Amino acid sequence: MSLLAGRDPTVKLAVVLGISLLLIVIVDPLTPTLFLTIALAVALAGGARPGTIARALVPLTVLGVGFVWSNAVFAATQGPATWTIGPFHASESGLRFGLAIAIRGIAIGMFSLAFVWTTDPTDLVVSLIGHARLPFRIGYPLLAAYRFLPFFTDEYAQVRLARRVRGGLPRGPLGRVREAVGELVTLLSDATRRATRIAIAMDARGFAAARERTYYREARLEWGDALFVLGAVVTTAALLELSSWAGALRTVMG
Amino acid sequence: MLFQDPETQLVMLETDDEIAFGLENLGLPRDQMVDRVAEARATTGLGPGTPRRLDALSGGTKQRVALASLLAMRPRALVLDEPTANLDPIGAHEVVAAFAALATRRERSFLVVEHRLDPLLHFIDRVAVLGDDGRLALAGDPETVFMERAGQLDRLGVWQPELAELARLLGAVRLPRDVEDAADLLIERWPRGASVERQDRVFGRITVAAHGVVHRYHGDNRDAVTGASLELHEGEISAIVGANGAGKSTLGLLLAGVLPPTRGTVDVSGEIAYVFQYPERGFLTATVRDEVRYATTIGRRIARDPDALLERFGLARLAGANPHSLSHGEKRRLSVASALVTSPTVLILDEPTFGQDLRNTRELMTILREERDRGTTVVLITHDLSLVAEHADRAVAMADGAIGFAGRPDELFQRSDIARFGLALPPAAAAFAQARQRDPGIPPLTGLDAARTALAAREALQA
Repeated sequence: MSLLAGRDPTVKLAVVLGISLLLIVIVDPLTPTLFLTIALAVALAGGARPGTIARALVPLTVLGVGFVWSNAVFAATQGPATWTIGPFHASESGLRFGLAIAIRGIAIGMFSLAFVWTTDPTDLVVSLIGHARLPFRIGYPLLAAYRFLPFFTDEYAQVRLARRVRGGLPRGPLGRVREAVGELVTLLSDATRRATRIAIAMDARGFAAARERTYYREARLEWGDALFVLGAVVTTAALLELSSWAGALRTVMG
Repeated sequence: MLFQDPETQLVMLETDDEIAFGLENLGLPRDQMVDRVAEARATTGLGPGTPRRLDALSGGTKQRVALASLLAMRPRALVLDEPTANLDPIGAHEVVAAFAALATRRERSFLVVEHRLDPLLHFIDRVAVLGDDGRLALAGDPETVFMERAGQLDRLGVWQPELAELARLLGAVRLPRDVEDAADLLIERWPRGASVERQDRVFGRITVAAHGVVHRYHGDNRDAVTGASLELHEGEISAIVGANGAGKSTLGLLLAGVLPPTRGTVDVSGEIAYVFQYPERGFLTATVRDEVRYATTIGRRIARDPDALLERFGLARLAGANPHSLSHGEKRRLSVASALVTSPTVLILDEPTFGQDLRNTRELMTILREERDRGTTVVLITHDLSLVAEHADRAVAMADGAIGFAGRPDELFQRSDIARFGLALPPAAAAFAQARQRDPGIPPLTGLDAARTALAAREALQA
């Protein structure tokens, strides 16, 4: 658990980005499968419940199946068809490629979720300001905005309700567009008022009054972070070696 | 400066980060911040049991966190802008208690911008009253302002402390500084044997009947309203009261037919209009004139002259203005006017006096009483028990989604378990209740109106 939660968010983000970039150039199905196994293990070790992981896998898998299908069928129009299912022709190479990018997508998605699940948003912003040169004038307002996301959904429901009570349901596609515009205007005017008030409240507590500010939370890099990066590099190399040994490894370069 | 709305002045996600935010901006070293955060938490009563995440806190606690975040910066003076206006009675009490602890220490100056002064009377050293033109209309110590210049305050449309009005009714010259003080005054001065006979209003036929109504919001794991039964009548003002989250608004929406009951039935005879807490969310047109006439554009029958309504609601001169550009009070009146244009049988208003000053509240309540006298069923969803004491014929108190009491407001006020509904007696009623505990000769009156009536009846009897 603490293996991930205790790590610096910027370091974690860099590792996830690195692995994702690497996976993008790999086009065989086995290698991303190995990485997906690691991603699942990491998510579990990070404290995600199996149920949560399963729920997250559903949309990723649906997307993946779409990739497999379209690639298999699309590739068959160019190469020789290996199988015929009803009116559809599919090729084995297409299927293999589709499977590769589908699993790659799921693996990248799972790494990203493992990152989100084990990272506190405040820690992330403080760490990005400390280690990735994110200006605090951007980072802190982002945090304040993040706090508002749930309010936005609530407010949207209320605006819809209030408008429906006044005017009945919109009729026709044009009516629906006009209704959506009206809702958006109301929401935006609410959001603007709220943002203004927040800005005043931040000003009132001296935000950005000085060029420098200090931080209550520490964004300190520890030995654990170095070990974490080392571990990630070693694991990645081992997986690539394993895949290559099995004769499966293919990259975009061939 | 502490602002009115707890939601729009917190900028972080967790309590300690919030308190430290100002200190970070001051550039304080970390070890000092840790000490100051702990100190500010202690001063505002935010113990170790306080949830870490701000979104898990109640409105009152959020407001205390906001207060703590200011105190941590050790200002010499603090401005508080209606710090309890957006809170329910329990939350308001929480914040007033935190403020009281600070004010008693007299370590710094406070400037409180406020309509409702009773809970603060004990601490006020000086009062400044602003007129409509934004200039200083009146200033002085509270006793002078509230006891001697009351007529002027009334002309300015300023809320007066209930306890000050009560003292004047009793012919006292000294300003009671809290409920206990006012209770002493009652015991000393209330004319024993003043008649407190009450005339029960006679209501018309039933307009709305709810039977065992249950509602559960999509995705929730508990019912917001758990089997409520209620009948509303013609010519009756009912008030639905209770703490935040007790299910008041949901019940209102169910009665109005805006939300479908998950179980149970709501029978309505005639049309229902619902006025939301934030009227601007329901505005649909670009001018005040169109807004009032909106019902015709969707083919509804207009029963009352829109221009006459605008005139009546003091909006005639704004007919060409954009509804979003109006003031709080005007927006509220506009939303009520556009609801009344079809002459609904039932009018339901969610928090109609929220954030309104005395003049706006009075105007609105006069209008609503007129509507009631025309036979309209009026329902107020509110936290404001003074409003309930003065205007409601019936009070419906909710706790945890269930109706725990339905009856006359004075009966509700006499219940010993009123706190169960997240309610606290309004100041004048609290003074009567406290005095009565010590002297049974004091009648259990609900507020100033009832006191005035009782005193007038006695005078008539003596004359």
